[in-house]
Amino acid sequence: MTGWVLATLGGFILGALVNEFSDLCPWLARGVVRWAACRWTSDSTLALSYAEEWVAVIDARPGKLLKLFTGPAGGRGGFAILYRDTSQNAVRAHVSETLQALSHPIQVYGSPIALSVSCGLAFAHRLGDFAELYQSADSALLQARRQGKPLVTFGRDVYGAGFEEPGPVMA
Amino acid sequence: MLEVLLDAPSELHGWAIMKAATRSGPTVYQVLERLTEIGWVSARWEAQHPDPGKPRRRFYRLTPVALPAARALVDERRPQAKPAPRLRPSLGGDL
Repeated sequence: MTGWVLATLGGFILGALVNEFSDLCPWLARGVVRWAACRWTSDSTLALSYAEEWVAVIDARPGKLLKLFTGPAGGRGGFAILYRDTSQNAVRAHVSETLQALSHPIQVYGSPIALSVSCGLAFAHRLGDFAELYQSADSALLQARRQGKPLVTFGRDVYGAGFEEPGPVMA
Repeated sequence: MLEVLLDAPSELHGWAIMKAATRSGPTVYQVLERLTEIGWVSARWEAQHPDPGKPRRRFYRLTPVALPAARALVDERRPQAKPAPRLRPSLGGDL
């Protein structure tokens, strides 16, 4: 008898919790995408605009539990969702500009010579094994060179979740 | 993504693009950012969501300037249809 009561009570509590959680998911998802928008760009106006847009994206997604995973879906794991490491982007932009400046043809004895430069980058969020960091940058460079045009390519984070994003330097 | 925008009967909002392109949010928005930067895509906010109480959406569409180039690029990248297998007369057979 006691077992039956406990099972009923447990089922009721579990059902209530699941229901509560599913109601909570859309709210959580909205919070996550607002946070992600702030991480996406350092421009606060643009971040606000993205936050509003992504809240609408979350809202358009059917279901409740799934809303929480709409942003992250297919992303690079978990709540990496609409998250972008602005520091990596800042570095990439800086390196891209430098490479672009280098890629202008230079005059050698009156003949223009075009340079093609590729760059592999790797990030470490804390000091540690430099060999691993070099290896990551090296593989990024190899990937950039294989693309066949000047590129800035990120290698896998040595200590992070992993991030590879080639970005064209030249149009 | 270009194909999705090209095939769209009208402008599309972010979720519709993600769904049609079967790409994740970051991928879609990075591409949209780049396309907007080069003037291939224009975006506009809707004044109000048709359903009351829902957040307004942002719609994207290819600019008229980008249409020919986008179409050419999509055609170039689209996998070519395999030629139909050539039928060969059977040699021998039941004579």
